[in-house]
Amino acid sequence: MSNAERSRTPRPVSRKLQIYAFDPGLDLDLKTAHVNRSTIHVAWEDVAYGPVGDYIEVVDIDPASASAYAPVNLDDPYLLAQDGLAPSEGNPQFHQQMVYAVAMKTIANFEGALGRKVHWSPKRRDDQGNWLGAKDSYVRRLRIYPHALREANAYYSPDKKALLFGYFNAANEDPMDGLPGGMIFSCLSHDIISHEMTHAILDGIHRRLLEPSNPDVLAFHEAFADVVAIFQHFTLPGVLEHQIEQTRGDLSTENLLSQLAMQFGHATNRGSSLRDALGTTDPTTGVWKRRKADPSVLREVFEPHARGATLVAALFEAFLAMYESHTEDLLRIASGAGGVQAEGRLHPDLVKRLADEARTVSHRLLRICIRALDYLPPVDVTFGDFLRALITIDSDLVPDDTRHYRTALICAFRDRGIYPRDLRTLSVESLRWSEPTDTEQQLFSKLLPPSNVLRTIAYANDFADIDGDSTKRSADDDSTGLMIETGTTNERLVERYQELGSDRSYARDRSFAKDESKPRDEREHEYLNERQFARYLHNYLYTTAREYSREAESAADFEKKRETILDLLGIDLLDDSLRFEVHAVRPTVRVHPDGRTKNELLILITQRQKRSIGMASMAAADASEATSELWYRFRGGCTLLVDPLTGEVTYCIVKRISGERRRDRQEAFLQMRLSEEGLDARARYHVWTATDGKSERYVRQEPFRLLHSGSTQGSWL
Amino acid sequence: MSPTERNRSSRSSARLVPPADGIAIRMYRQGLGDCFLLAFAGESRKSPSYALIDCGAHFAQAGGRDNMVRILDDIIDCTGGHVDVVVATHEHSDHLSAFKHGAHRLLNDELKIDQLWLAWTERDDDELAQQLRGERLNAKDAIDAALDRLKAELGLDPEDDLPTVDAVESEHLPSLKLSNTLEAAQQFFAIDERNDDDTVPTLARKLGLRNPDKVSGNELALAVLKDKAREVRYFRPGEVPVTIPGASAARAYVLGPPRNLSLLKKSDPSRGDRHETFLTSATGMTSFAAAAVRADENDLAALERVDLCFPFDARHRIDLENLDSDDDTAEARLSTEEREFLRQYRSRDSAWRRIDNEWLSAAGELALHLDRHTNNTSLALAFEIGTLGKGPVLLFPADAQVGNWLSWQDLTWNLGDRTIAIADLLNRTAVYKVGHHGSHNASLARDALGADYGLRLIRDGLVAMIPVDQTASDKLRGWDMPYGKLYEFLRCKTRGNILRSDDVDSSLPVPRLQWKDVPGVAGARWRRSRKKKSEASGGGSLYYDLSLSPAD
Repeated sequence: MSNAERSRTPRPVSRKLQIYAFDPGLDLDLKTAHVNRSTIHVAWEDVAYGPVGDYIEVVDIDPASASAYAPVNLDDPYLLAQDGLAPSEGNPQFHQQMVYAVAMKTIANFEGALGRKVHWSPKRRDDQGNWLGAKDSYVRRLRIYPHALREANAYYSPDKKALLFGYFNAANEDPMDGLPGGMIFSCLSHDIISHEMTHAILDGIHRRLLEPSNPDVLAFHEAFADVVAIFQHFTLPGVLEHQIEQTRGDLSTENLLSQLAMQFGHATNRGSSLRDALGTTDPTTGVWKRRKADPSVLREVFEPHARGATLVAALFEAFLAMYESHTEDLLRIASGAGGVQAEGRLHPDLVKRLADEARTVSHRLLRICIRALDYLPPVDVTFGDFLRALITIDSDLVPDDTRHYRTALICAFRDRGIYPRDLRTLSVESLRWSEPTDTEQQLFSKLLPPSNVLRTIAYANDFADIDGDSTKRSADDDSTGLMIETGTTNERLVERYQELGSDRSYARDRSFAKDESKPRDEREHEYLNERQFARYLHNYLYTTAREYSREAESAADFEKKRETILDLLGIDLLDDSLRFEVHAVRPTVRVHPDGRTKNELLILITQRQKRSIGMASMAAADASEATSELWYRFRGGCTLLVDPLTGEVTYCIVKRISGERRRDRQEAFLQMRLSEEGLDARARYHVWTATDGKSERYVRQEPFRLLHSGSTQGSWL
Repeated sequence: MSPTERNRSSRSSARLVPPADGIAIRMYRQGLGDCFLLAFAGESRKSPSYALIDCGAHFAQAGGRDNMVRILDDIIDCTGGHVDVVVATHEHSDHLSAFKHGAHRLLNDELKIDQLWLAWTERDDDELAQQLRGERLNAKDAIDAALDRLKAELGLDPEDDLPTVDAVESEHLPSLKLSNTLEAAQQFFAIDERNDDDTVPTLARKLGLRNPDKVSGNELALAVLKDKAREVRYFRPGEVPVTIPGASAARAYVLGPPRNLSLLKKSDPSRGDRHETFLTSATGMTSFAAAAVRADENDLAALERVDLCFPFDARHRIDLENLDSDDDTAEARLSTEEREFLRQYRSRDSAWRRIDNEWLSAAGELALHLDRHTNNTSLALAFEIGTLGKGPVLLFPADAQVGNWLSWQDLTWNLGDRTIAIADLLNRTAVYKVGHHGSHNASLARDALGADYGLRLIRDGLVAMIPVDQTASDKLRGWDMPYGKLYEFLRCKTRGNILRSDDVDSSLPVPRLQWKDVPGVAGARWRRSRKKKSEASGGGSLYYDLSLSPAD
């Protein structure tokens, strides 16, 4: 880039940009106005007009107003000199700057915790809406439309790989809640931006999290988006100190940190924020009350946002317990012997120390939440799975739990009825995913490539060149050594791997690329590597499983071997009628609290089975639909965490495709939802009839639009 | 004497006659749609007082129009061509369609009307009603305009009828993702009764209505009723019990619609903990409406309002239409880079990510919302027969939804020696016309705080009447009729004494052709008609009769 050439100064690490800490609503409150404007540091990257960077492109088109708004140029020297534009509701360029800044901040939080780069889910349909299947294509940038809709809504569109934000006139009549009829922009709410960004990032990490195979799946998507938004509050400079001062250090009383989308909540006549992880405001009296943990909620509530709120509350509760245990001593010191604080304001030094502790705790919690995503089973995720993932990752990172973080987590989850359904006891030991036994490890070594190959895969992103040559391969060239004829031996497979050139057949997403000449960015390189390794591993597993079964002495022995693999990986590798998919191969680098770094290879393998849940008539349809059968996909698979240095599997987290009880539960759940919500809801539950395949109307719906505009029926009684 | 009149007198035995001091209720079974004829005991046995509550069939009801002709025939027959009261509960075609399709029969006095009862929301000189009508009109215009844009997108003329989703699907809709909008809008316009009858403007002109070409079917139906009724009465909730003209011992308590705007606009139940969805639509629709409707260029106030609905000042706005032209003067404010950037939005490569029409789908939400809002303006009535403050009650909430139900809690009626509250009326309810065809949000059983209310306060021995046709209601988006949990509740509450206008539930008792006692309900008898409804709507009896004598 020309800037770098011209200058002797090294590239800056970050770019400072101004944002609203919460949303413009708090600007008009004397108590909060002075902390509502924040300047945050966003990782430096070359940005073009838009802003368009490596990860996102902000495109400010407003079709409802038949208008476009000029794109902001963050590299304008005047803007560089003053940390970007000052917060302003009336200046569209500031809106662009703010969505860019908050979006990049959210990405940075994920990358830091995950230990690898964030990828968007690939483009999986062509422009006519047909599935691209294995030929999906890389999406370099998520697109953000800050002014796409004229309604109180905002959503992530998985089809367009875009965030759509709406704006609307406030519905409130009480000026205390903001200017009646005033313009409200969802793209100026820190919480809404980070919520929607998290949806997009999650979709890139776990595509199957959009498939509601149990009541927790979509709720998890929503809860996670809220958790990220809430814990990002703690990173905003000044806000935390201010809130600690206001609550005199007691964050379990009403405070801004636990609340989401304040202005939006008031503008839609709720009289309070949109959601609150800690308590509720009585709509008639306006009095805030801390919410009690209620384990029955999970049995009764199925609407994703409301159900997800339970998980959010559990995590916030755990945060409070950790924060209190961290700050007890500070409060004692500050108060003298009695432990009772003097009246009046807290000492500024104490405020600062308390804020530091809160920041540390929230940082650790957010980090393990994000890392736990890699410790989830690849399909059919439940809240209980998430708890197990949290406990596992935390035990690995901090073996010695002197502050009882894990106890705090378990208690907060248990109080809300969140626990795995198949455990004998609720303890750290039993919640941790179990490590493979020696026999299992031996079988892994038979099925998986040897450590030198795994190592190459794990480090490939660091060392492989990014030359332009590989683009010359034709798109349909599948004879690159990846297809392996049956009967190939292990040794031959390893050789094949070493012979491999880089097969880089793909279609590129060209929109808004400012420099077509530049070969590819790192993430595209990673994407291509992953696809290639996935294919390689697929063939490898296919071959080694058959090699293993060939040792069988009898039919019964063959069945036994099939069962053994099924038990281990959760999928049936020997049934030719059931295809399996290597869903992801992701090298990650984790930084431990003691400074060690550890490389890990994450492999997700899945399998699916088309199954019927009976006739459509059970969901009360009209005559033409009643006779058609309803289908869904039952999935199984495993998440493998592999140590590339030894080739050993550290964890294998399994949901078996043979799990009959799980299958019955899923079918009962789908039937229940369809009979409650009607057959029209089937697209949401990934259920289809024979004729749906051809119908665009069935497939092309916005899943998060449905969720966010709330078409679910209220429950009666 | 005209032929029809002669005909009528010869069939005087067809009259609907209530038991002494009691009431007979004729529930017509057209399917999805309301029509109830009430006969109150009059001064003499031969002169009962007749009240007709609504008369319509839903557009989605097969054979609905045919049924309504048969029903109007029957009403004229069994009342001798004269009703004392017509209650038009709210402005939806499934409650009014027969007054439009049968307008000529009203206009040539085949059916004479003494009083027309309407909710205060229909009153011209009521400020609150005016405000509501204004909002409604704006929203209608917005939906209209959004659909015009949609039609343009589909290559249709604004004059063309709205295509059905299935007709569009194959070619255009994949790129539009607007099927839901289309469906919701269609439902809305159908219930608003537009575009389906050329006679409407002619009749509107005849009645001297303003803008005859824009009059909807429902507006015409109301205009005809107002024109023919000798007296039009508007009711507010909580007024002193209204005497029913000609009835010896019966009166009506007015329950709704509420005068409280927030209750009037509340259509769905909310639970204690306010389980709201992340972003609800249909709030703050003003800006959506402004985008869709082009304001009159001479109306400066309107122009200013519209301008305020734009997110930014005019100086920030760059006309999308001008982006592609090389006309530098129009876009002098943009630098080359800026313009290049914005133009890429329309480039072929990024076509799959364009959002030109995404915002229009709010029209669908708005249409659904408007629909529910109209339901909430229902004139909800409780009829009491027999002794004042003691006799059995018939609950007719029309399509009142949650907010309307909740508002009744504040009402009391002063009867001189004592006051009665809603709990008392509910407790004495013997007949419940199930609200809104049995939907989830039109029958309340708990109040806002979760305490027993509504149906839970009704004592045992209840008969429920559900005007519904499940086949028809399944075609509607967003409604489950009857709602499963409610239906189960009613089955328990009534011990199976439910009258439905479809024959879906074969476990229900079917009345005989002769009057028979209703099992377990003292003083109640029922029968079904020999007259049949149209085959298209499933055949079977055209109506059920239920009679009730107040216990001594």
